[in-house]
Amino acid sequence: MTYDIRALIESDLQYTLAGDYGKPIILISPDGETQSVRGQVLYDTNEFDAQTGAMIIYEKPNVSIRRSDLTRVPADGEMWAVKIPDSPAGTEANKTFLLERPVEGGRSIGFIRLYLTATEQTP
Amino acid sequence: MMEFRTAKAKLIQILGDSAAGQFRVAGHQAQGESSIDTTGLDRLVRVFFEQGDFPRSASAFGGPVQHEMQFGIHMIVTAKARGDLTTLNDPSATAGQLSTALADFEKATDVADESFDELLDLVYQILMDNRHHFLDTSTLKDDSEEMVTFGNRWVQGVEKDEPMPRGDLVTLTGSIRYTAEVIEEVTGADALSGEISTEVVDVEVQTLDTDNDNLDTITKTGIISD
Repeated sequence: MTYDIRALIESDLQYTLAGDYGKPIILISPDGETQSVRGQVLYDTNEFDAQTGAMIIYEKPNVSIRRSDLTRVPADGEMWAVKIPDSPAGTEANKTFLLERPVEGGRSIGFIRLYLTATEQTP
Repeated sequence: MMEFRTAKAKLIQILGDSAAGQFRVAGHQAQGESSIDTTGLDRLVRVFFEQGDFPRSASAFGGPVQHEMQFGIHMIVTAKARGDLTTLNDPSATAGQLSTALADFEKATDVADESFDELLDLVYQILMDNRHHFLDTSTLKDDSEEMVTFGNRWVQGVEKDEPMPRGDLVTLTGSIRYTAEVIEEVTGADALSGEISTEVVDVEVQTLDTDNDNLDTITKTGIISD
């Protein structure tokens, strides 16, 4: 009996990303279409500081979404709006960010990670 | 206190008095610029003494020394992407309205770049304003002769760095090279008591005259240092 490991991992994402641990996420594509999904929402990102080489924890939200839950997958360079809860305890996707860059492939098996950038209202 | 420290304080005062809420002013060089430190400040100007040259001259030994000062005027702006959030957050907005709102969004790097250029415009005009030519140190001696402490102030150049994403914000930095000249008085090191002695004394010293092997007495004048 053989197993398709990748298929099993991808199937598990419905629990690990989109299940009870997941948070509501709303994506608005460049053509104005809205997608409501559930996924992992993290409010911090680890990056290396170019000046010191130290690992810095930045307040930078990023979301991980099961790819098969999306009717249209964000591509690099596209203008997307992403709404997430305004805090880890929030239950409603009420804070709007812009997509900075999507990351998938490599270790990303069946999911896509979106790094977000803050927004403000034009005065 | 050396005059370059006074010059730095004057620069901070001049920039602060003329900022009119457009930016904030600080007087020290921070180690790196975190967007968290500048969040809510939007624009920050830091003033710090960068380097100085003391041209050697015959009159400089033991006397006043010319100081060619260079200050760093460091500018930091922090920006977010900017656009029509009202439409994006409107649950009744149509796909066409959402698409238009998204397309019209300004990226954070563009907002930061424009903000930096505006800040540079403001700071340059303040620094090169003729009213601040002498760093506000001109006084009238005996109501006739104008005395100044600092002179030859000049903005030598400006550099803009690459925008850096810091967390979910974008930070853009740059710096102005500002130079001026001043005369530094050499007061010497402080005495152990913390006071500078100005007591002048005459001391008799015996020296050997090698021509005739006689001891000659000469008088030397000096200041007690300790």
